[in-house]
Amino acid sequence: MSSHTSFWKRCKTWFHRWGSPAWFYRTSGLIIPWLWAGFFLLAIPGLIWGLSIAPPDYLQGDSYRIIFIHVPSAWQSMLIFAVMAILALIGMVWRIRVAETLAMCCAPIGAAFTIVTLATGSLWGKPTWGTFWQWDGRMTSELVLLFLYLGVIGLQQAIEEPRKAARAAGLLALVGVVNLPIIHYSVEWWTTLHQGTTISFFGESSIDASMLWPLLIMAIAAKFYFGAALLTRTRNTLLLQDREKNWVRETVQGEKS
Amino acid sequence: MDYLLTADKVSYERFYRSVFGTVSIHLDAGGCVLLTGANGAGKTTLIKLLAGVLRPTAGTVSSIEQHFIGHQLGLHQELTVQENLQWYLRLWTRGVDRQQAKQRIDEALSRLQSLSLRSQRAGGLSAGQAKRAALARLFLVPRSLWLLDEPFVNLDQASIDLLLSEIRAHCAGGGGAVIASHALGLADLPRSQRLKLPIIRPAQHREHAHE
Amino acid sequence: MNNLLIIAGHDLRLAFRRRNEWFQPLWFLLLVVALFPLGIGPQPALLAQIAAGVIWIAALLANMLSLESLFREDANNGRLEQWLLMDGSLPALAAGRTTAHWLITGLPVILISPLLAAWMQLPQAAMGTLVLSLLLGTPTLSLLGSLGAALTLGSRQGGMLLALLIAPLSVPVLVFATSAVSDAASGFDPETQLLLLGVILLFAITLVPFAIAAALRIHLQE
Repeated sequence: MSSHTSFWKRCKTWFHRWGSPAWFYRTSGLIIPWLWAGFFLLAIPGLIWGLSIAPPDYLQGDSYRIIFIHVPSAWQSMLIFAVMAILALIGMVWRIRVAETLAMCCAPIGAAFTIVTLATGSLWGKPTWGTFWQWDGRMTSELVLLFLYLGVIGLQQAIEEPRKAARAAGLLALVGVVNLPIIHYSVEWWTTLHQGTTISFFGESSIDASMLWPLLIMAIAAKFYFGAALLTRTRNTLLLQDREKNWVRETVQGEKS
Repeated sequence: MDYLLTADKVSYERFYRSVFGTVSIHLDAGGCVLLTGANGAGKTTLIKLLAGVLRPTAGTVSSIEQHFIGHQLGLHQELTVQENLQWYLRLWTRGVDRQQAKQRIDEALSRLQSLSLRSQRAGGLSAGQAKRAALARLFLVPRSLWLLDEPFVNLDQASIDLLLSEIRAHCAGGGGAVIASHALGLADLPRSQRLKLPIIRPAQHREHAHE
Repeated sequence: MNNLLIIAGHDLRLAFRRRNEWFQPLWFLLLVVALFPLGIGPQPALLAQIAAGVIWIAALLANMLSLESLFREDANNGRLEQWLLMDGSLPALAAGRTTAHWLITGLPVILISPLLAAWMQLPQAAMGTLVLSLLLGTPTLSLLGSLGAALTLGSRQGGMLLALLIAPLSVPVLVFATSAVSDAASGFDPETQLLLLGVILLFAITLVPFAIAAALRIHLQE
């Protein structure tokens, strides 16, 4: 029983420590290099494998190789929205500034992944569908996702007081994440209604292992990239927020000397 | 002693800066707190925190049900004074019929001799008249704690005296009040404490900051 | 519930005094729908094909435009603060205000929808479905718009931003409603889509008032 309570206590102090900007700044500074290292160690072999070693697709030839960018960034764009909503919820319930700041720093990164997904999707669409844009279910959902990201960013920019802005935008992210499955479902419904047949990226057959491995490696690399980018961005934002506080002065002086 | 309001180490940050440092207040029945301080010291912010409109960045506030008359008076411009007060009365109480409501509104207005304002549009009132119309809420439904932000501004001398005697009577009867005001001295109110908010400068702010 | 009715009644009485509030969205809707035949040509077959989408998008725009000032007046005059202090009733108050807004701007749209349908050459068979889809769909739009109004209350741009935030959230309503009407027009049974609209509405009624209350609370912080 006592070990049980002490476990929760340890979790609680750990949680609280992450809530302190000074501690967050220091600890994330230690983690970030490892995240970058992980990203490069995975992305470079993943790209080489995907772009030159993996065999060409029997239908699409070499043009399919864009999935090694497209699919990981599509997964990542959706995952980031969920992460943002969870962080916003934590920030809202426990009123933790670090969580609010993290949530707000998720938005531009997520939007960037969404734009990459849409751009690579249309590049892929040209040889596959014969057009840069097709109102395909997944692409349309992704477009709506981009608008949701832009909404979160736009709302945050429109409110002057930064914490109020972060809370309002966080609430919008929460509403968005509840809505996303419904939006996704409605768009799927809509495409089957209007198109009859959608061209599926992988057809019915499961993807070949020689393509799957580089895809998975790239997907994990995208997660490392997200972690590194998010922590770097949040660190800088916290530094700016607390520019008049003691810990920032001490940190800056420490880094100078 | 009946407790009315406790604020424990309350602080509020705006743009990542503390507005007035840290404040603790305890108010018992019959007491009065006078908030003073220069413009920008954070009187309005503190009184909104005490009312529960703002949530403190750190610290806690607990109080019994109160009347809060803020800087914004809470009157709808297109409604008459009577309609405005009726709106509050209907939301605050249950089962008051039309006749009773009219009676209570008349009674509340007459306390500050504002009965003549009853059927005027709130948008057409002068600043002092509007303040009196808003202050009538204090008498519409009895509540022990009054939180008043600059209640004497724009009032004529006769109304100031009336309001002051009402506040004295309220405190003598076991109520309490927190009043942000320049115009008031400690001598005006019995058993009152003064809380002067200092202006926080960035240099001082550094010392207050902790995290 | 009591507070909801008080606010709704109060808002309706106020709206009755100023006619613009219910007349302008209606006017806007008529104008937007009239622009389509002017813009793309009066061929009945063409109009009939896009009728559902045009009417619904126009209704969505009219709804968003009329919502911008929903809480602004009370935020400026201080009554919003007083709402907040009436403990626990903020969601009810938000719901009451939204209900009144829907009765003022949503209901008239439904009442003139047969006229719009005639303009757009919508087949007679789809008329009932159009009215029903509006009846089930526009309250959801009003709730979402009301949330948008609460979220953008403290912002600099107001109206435009509200539309940008709320339009993506309105996608499911738009999709199901227009597909219901097109199905009915081509002789299919639109029951599934109408059912889904109903489910979304129930979902919105139970959750969105709390989100609106949270947004108003955030706005009142300085």
